[in-house]
Amino acid sequence: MPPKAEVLQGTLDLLVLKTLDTLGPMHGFGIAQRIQQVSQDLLCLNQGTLYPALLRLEQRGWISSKWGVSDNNRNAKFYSLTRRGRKQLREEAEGWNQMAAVINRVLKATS
Amino acid sequence: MIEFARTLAARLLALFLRRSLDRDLDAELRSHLDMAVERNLAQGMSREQARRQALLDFGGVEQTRQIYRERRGLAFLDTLFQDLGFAFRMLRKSPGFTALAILTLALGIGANTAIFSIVDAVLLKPLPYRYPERLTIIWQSDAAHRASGAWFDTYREFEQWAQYSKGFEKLAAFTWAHQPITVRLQGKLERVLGIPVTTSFFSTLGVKAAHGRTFAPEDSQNACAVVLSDAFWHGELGGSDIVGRTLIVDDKPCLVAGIMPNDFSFYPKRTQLWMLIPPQGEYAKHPWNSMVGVVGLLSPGVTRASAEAELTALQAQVISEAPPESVLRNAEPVVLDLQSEFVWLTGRNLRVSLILLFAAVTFVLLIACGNVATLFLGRAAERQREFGVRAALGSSRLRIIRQLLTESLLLSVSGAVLGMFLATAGIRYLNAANPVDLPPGNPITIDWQILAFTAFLAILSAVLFGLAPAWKASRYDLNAILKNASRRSHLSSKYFVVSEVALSLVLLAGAALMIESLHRLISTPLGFEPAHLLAANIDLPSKTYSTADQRLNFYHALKNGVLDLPGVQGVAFAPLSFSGSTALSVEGKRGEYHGAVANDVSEAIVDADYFRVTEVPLLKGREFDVTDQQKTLPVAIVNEALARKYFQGDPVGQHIKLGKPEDKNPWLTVVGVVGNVKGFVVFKEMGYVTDPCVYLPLTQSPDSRVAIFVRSSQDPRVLTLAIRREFSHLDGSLPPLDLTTMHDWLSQFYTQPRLRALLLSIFGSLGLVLCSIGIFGVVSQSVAQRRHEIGIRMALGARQRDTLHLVLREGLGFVAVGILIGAAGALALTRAISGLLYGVTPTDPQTLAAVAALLIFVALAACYIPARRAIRVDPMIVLRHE
Repeated sequence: MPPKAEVLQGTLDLLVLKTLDTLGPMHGFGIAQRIQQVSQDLLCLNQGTLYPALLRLEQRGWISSKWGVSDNNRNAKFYSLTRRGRKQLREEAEGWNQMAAVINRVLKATS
Repeated sequence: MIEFARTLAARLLALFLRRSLDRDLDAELRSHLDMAVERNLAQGMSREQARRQALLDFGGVEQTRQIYRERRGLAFLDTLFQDLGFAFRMLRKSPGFTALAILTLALGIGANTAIFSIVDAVLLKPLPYRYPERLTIIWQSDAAHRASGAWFDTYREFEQWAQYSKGFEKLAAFTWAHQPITVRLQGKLERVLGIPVTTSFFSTLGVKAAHGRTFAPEDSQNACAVVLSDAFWHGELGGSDIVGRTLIVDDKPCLVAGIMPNDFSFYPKRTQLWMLIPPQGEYAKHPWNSMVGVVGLLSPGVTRASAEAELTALQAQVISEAPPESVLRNAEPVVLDLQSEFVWLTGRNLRVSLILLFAAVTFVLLIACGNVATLFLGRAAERQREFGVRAALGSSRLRIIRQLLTESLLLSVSGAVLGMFLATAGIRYLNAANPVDLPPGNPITIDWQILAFTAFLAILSAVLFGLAPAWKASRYDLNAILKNASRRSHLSSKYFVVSEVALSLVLLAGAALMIESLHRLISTPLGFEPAHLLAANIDLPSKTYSTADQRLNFYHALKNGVLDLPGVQGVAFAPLSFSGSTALSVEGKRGEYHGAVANDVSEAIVDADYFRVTEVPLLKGREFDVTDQQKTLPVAIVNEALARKYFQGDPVGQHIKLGKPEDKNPWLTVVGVVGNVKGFVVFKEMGYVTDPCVYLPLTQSPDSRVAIFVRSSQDPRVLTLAIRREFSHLDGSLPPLDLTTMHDWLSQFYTQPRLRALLLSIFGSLGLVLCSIGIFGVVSQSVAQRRHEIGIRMALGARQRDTLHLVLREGLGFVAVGILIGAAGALALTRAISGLLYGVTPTDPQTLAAVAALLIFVALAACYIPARRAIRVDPMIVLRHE
């Protein structure tokens, strides 16, 4: 098993936004599950850090939350993307792609 | 930016919803863990294992909560509430300290706020007129009186300026140099303070009436028009519906055009009504003999200096028309700032006094801060263990400083709130009781500016008295404290006490100089005997008392009537006050004339009994008597000052003339010389003048305006009613006599010096008390800390007296340093108040010595109590305790 990568500072927001974009309204546990699944367990997500991140996104108005009932009949807080959040996701994804491309280019140039 | 605002709003909201949000978070986290456990169970783990794995994946529920909470609310506010709560508990734990500190600060801040609200209203805030920065007042002046003006303008000059001046947008004349006016109220004649003004007066100020209107051009058609003050309307007229109706003023029906708002005032502040000077009235008919002041609104961009030049040029064009006797002087117009002139007119030393008082209360506040700082330092010493423990538990130094500053802020804010109440009470008293005249314009109130100032004081004082102790308290040697060793020296609290002593000395020196000046001012012999003397102005109307005989008969009848009253020792007639403004000619031995050296001679028309009744001593010659009649030789009596200035030898028998030798006035034969009477002057508050004076007999110059003087054998006030009855019995149509005792009349000139001395003494005493508490506190702390040392000394054979000396020497040591610094400060600062002094120099060594002695005495008393405690130290107990 390769060593797990820590979630990079600032990328958690992007991951959460993207997850909510794909899944629609989802609770914290579901978001954590999904991130780990998609990353094929390569990311080490400290699930606890998810909640301050969710709060931060909500405070900025990018996501909204509502109590609801989960698939297996549990009370859970569901988060969903707002319109502003969707826009933010687009911008951040774009920015990330650019940055990744630049870093890739730099790495190739030096090798 | 929007995100930031949203975040802030959400966070603020969270502060208030803390509990319910906490519950929400807990539910969410529980739901998360439950789901995780369920999944783990589904993956085939045991219940125990599933739970462990879920918590492991989650990674620290408590930390998450903590981070979540911090992110949710405002961390610094959270800490602030924590600090505040702790500060509150700490202060409640030592109520004595807290009460003393808050009271001290409340006095300091309250006094500052009260005085500042006066300074703000009188000196800082612009006048409540439309264009206050462009409003000016115009007087006539000579080189000696450029700063304040010396004389009224004439109506002719005003007309000339109003017609041709371009530097002024508007000009208006007003005057108080005229006969007092009367108003008939419910059939009774009452004297009122009415100020004649021109049509443009109110529009120059840019003020409107509250009811009706101010003067308008159409009023010049009316025989008479008035505008009333709100106080007169409410007080004397009971707020009745009078606008548009008539009021009988000076026996003429007058149209009441309007009533001014409650907050409007102009000089004199107590003005009850303003009468119109009609463009074609008496003033215009005798323009060179009508004295007026002029208020002018400068055109935008015009300076006072250039306006002055313009007015001077305009005045020069018409001055040649002036009848020779009306304009005697080389006068030029001065254009002065209206607000400064209001202050000057109200009190010659008012500006300096206010600044002085403000400085004094600032000193008091500084002393108060010094005091609280020493208290804080003492407590910081007691709390060192607490700080040590906190530091050992990981509290940062900044956190401890912050905690202490929160405590000082809590104290100073409490003090400021209490001080605000004190200030409000003080200002309410000032407005209700009017212990001293303040200039017209802004009312004294506590508004948001004053509140801001008080808040500033609270923060400033918190920093002043809180920072040093906090800094010091946070600099600890952890090990030493925890081992309960080290308790040395209170150097910084001594600095505070030294500065307190120095500040107190300056304050007390100022107060002492004021008291000494007031005392010398009041106890100066005036040249007559003011005790048991009553006086009142009489003003006979020219219509009913047109001939000299009518007037003389009235005076004669009045005198006889009053003399018959029991307890009356003498009655005389003379002006209540007079000051020099005419020239004097002396007939020389060889027919040559000494022209007037200066227009400094005053004339007073008095009756034969005046000198005897007021006890002005006759030095040479004779008094006036029955032989001096209208047909006999014109005579005069001169005072000593005149005799000395204009005659080398004996003036009796010489001839003098009021005015220039070529004037038509008769030559007067000097028949006597009397002692000087000191008078008050317009231009100087602290001091008297003795102008050369010529007394003329009433029988030869039967004036219609005199004052009656009544000498009684007992308290003169009991005679007031009887004299009044006698007066109205003689002529019921005259306004009633306004009798005052000479003492009351004189005391109006001492109001400001007296109030100044009183306030400064209060502040000085306050400083002294605070200072003694400071000294007491520091010496007590020092004794408490040196108990051990003192115990050892005593065990080694020191006597009680040695211990007493030890403590006193230490205490008095820094008091002496403070006194030296304070004396230097006092010598430097009291020069600024030389204008407020009379009979003492600002650097009077006796005053300084007395004040220093007082401080040393108080300091001794303050040191003595802790010193007594020191000599009662029982060496056995101290040593065993160790």
